Amino acid sequence: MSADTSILKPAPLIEGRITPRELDDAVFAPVESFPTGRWLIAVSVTGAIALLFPICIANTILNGIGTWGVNQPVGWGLAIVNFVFWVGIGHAGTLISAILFLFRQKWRTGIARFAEAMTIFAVFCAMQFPLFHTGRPWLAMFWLIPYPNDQRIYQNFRSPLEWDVFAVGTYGLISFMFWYLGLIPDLATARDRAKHPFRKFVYGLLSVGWSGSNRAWTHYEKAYLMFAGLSTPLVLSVHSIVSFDFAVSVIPGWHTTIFPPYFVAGAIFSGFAMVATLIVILRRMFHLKHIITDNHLDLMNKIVIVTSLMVGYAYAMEFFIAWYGGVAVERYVFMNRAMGPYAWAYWTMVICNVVVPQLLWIRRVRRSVLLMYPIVLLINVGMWFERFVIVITSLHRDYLPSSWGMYIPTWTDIGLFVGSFGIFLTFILLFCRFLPSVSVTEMKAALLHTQSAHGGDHE
Amino acid sequence: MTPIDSISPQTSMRLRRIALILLIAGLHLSVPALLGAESRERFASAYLWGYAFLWSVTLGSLFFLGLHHLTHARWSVVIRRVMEMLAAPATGMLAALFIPVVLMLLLHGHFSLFPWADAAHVAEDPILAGKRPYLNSPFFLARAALYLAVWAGFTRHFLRQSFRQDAGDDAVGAVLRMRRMGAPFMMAFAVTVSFAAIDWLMSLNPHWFSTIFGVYVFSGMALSGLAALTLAVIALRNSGRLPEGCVTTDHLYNLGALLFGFSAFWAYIAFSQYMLIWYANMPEETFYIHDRLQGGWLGVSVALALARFVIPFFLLLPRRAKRHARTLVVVSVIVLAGQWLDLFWLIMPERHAAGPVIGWQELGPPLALAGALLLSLSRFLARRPCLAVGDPLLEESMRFRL
Amino acid sequence: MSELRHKQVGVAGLYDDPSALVRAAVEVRRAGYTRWDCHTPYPVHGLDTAMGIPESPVGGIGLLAGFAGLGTAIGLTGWLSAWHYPIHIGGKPLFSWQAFVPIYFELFVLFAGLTVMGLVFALGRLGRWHSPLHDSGIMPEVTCDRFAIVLEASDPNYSEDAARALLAQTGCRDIRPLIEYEEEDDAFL
Repeated sequence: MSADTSILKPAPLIEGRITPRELDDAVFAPVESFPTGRWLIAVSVTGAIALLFPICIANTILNGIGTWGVNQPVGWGLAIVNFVFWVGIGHAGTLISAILFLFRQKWRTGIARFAEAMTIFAVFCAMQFPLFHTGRPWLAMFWLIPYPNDQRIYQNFRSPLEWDVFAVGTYGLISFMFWYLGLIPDLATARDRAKHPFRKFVYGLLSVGWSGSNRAWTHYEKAYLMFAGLSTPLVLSVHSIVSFDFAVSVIPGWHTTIFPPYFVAGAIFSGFAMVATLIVILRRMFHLKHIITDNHLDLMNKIVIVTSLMVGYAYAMEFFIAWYGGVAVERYVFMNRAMGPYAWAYWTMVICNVVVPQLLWIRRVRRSVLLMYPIVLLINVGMWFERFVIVITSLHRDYLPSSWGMYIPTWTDIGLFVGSFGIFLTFILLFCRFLPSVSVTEMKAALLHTQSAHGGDHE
Repeated sequence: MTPIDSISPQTSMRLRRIALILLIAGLHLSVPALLGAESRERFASAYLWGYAFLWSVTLGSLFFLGLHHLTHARWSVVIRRVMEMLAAPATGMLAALFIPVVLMLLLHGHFSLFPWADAAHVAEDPILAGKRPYLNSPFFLARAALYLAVWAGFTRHFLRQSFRQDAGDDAVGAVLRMRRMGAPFMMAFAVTVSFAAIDWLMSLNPHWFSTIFGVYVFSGMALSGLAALTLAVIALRNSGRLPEGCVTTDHLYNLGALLFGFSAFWAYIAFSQYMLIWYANMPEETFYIHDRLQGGWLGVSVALALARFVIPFFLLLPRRAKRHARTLVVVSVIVLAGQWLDLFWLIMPERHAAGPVIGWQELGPPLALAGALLLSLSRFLARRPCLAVGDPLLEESMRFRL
Repeated sequence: MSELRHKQVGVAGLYDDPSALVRAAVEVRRAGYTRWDCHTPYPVHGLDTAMGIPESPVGGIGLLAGFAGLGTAIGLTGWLSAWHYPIHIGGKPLFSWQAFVPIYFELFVLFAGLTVMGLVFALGRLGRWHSPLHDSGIMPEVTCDRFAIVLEASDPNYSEDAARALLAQTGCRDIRPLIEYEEEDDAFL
């Protein structure tokens, strides 16, 4: 072929050439150097914010769930909004690590580790809310998990809340194992690079004696593929089951059949926005711009716009069918969302999730940190409001007008939400300090392919 | 690469013969069906059944063609022309074959296909009266015209650029032009297919509604497009039209994996719709599922789950099966049968509440429409090479390994 | 610490290039060695075939475990909800499989995932923190950018000279003795 086809091929994985050793040096630099002042300031700020969480939890436990704004008719308040929000954030990590792996998208290598870590922390934050919503979390274990007991009382397996126990529990565990499996070879690299015996001991312990043996690699690779294959339907199931919490009910605005795929698309949407929000800071803070490049941002923003359109499709379809179905209360709930007392939340959601992301059609916006950053921040806001709209507006005015009411969150509600962000960010900062935030193992394998192929093109 | 340059259009007499036999048999059964009053109504449902199948295969393939351009895929360049061949009816034939549906709607007294087209019936039903702004003949026809025009427009664009490449005319530019339309196509496709599904299939029972319905129909459509694509690729390879070494087992593996994935996706969507309706058990929507789970329809529903999900899923579960041509042929045939069954399950209970009825009155239109589809494929093969010979990424695609 | 007693347990050859490693692995296998291994910083394409390693059973056993999980879920939900602790809720039948499908699926994934993770540890012999590669100082190179073939002295075919000759013949220019410190079992402490 005489024509230059390079324009038709994807951009290189990283910028410039880099040897495996340089890659190790770049990725392990934050792990092996003394924390910078910036990092210390950041972690003390997020740590202080995280303290809000135990304070508000103490208030909840000492005084009861009455300290939250939930009451009739809105019995599910910010706690459930936050639960769905955090579970959703986690979904991008699994999407990147599992689904993009199955689709052989090599660019995922640069961001997969970070996104997976984000998944685990987000699921951790998510679990706190329903756990404390039970009122007496120290007894919840007996209520939630079927175990042989003297009373011979068992769970109601028809309850979507019980499905959540299985779904979120499995999701947390599988995501953790998937993440850890990916980490093992990198931890071995950390062990072998370590100078101080204590570091060597800790990373040695964590790397479970990994020696790069090919007889282990063969099982490892198969296992990684299995985890990817299992995680892909798992990630769909988790947010689908979260959506079932709402959709199996008869509440107008909750019971609609598009909820499962709509929730999954929304989760991936919000998760990618969160990955983009954080990874821009990460790569700046730790000088990884040549490894997590503008091409990564470009591709992530493309996924953001695809999922934004899916979410927009669901909003529109719900509205259309609410009218088409001809059920009076359903029609009312949707009119109430758009024009009732919570219309501000509804329009925040629509503008942040559907209108603003359309700017990402412009290539320059996708590739410029300054231009894309406000957009992804707004998506984080918008996706939180989406859950707010779903949970609150459907409950506050349903079939019985005599019991209509309003929901106003208390300071405890807000403190828990802000505090959960503190916990999440603190975990992220600690992760970046102590573990390699890019998978050097996968990156080296990918470099071998692309750099030799790239070199071949020029010869 | 010499073998590629030597690829030229080839008429397939066998394909043409099969197509003509199906077409003639179908027409032969359709004409008497149109003469009787009762058989005419059954003909109407059967025509929609056959048309919806043709529509699924064509647009399912068009979806994968658009996806190929949208994702800048490179492995699938070797099968791009086969996708184009299967999508080609969307340029005109799909619209032409819609004309009988238009006539049946306009002559509603004789065919009674869409209950909402009956003014007297709508007048005494307040819910249907409330839907009149959407469900009325002029608007319905205008929407159908819009959908068909959108699909024809995009297909024409993709095909024209592709044929220009064959002539060696600015091949790189053509790829870029096709890719540029990938995103607009996907958006238009999502909206038009969803609303076409609502108009043509869901409104057969105008009381019922489900927000996931468009996605449900899409999932079956994608599966049937994929199955048709797999069958066509393997048939062209076995008959030597696609030269040796073009489509490898690695390409087949990708098709197998996609079939596997979309079978699971269909199950996910179908189960979500069924379970949510079953669970909430609200009279305004449960009746639709209930109708399909009693009498003879229960068996059809179970067969649907088996043909659509259980059998393809377990056949394709082993890694080796996904690259094994014969397994893929078996699965594709089952998947296509599943699509016939799925559309039967969506359309026919509205006509025969007690149980599935299938006689010569039902067989005419599907046979004729299947014949028309095959005839269009054979015409395509006679005019165009079955490989995108001009695509600059073709060689890279041939070298694709897992 | 300076005068640790150590013994030689084999020979290691180091390569800079994965394709050289794959070619060498074919040679070693052909020479009839059984107790040997390759150590690489990342999985090398084609090395399994070169070494003659059979396909890993992790996938198959993992799937079986998944189906065992599915069976467990069917049994658990069915037995508890329909027989042992039957309660009527929402007018649903006692054995309402539709409502149990989410649990079926989750336990499928959970059992398969736990089994796969366990199998990687068991079959990949992880959790043995000590390796002669550490003592020989080869490990840091292997986890960074180099590729090693290790021929163990416990192999019935082994003789040091033959092993070194074989590695040299494959084009290896960096051949080192594989040593192991004779210490107590608290190696990693």
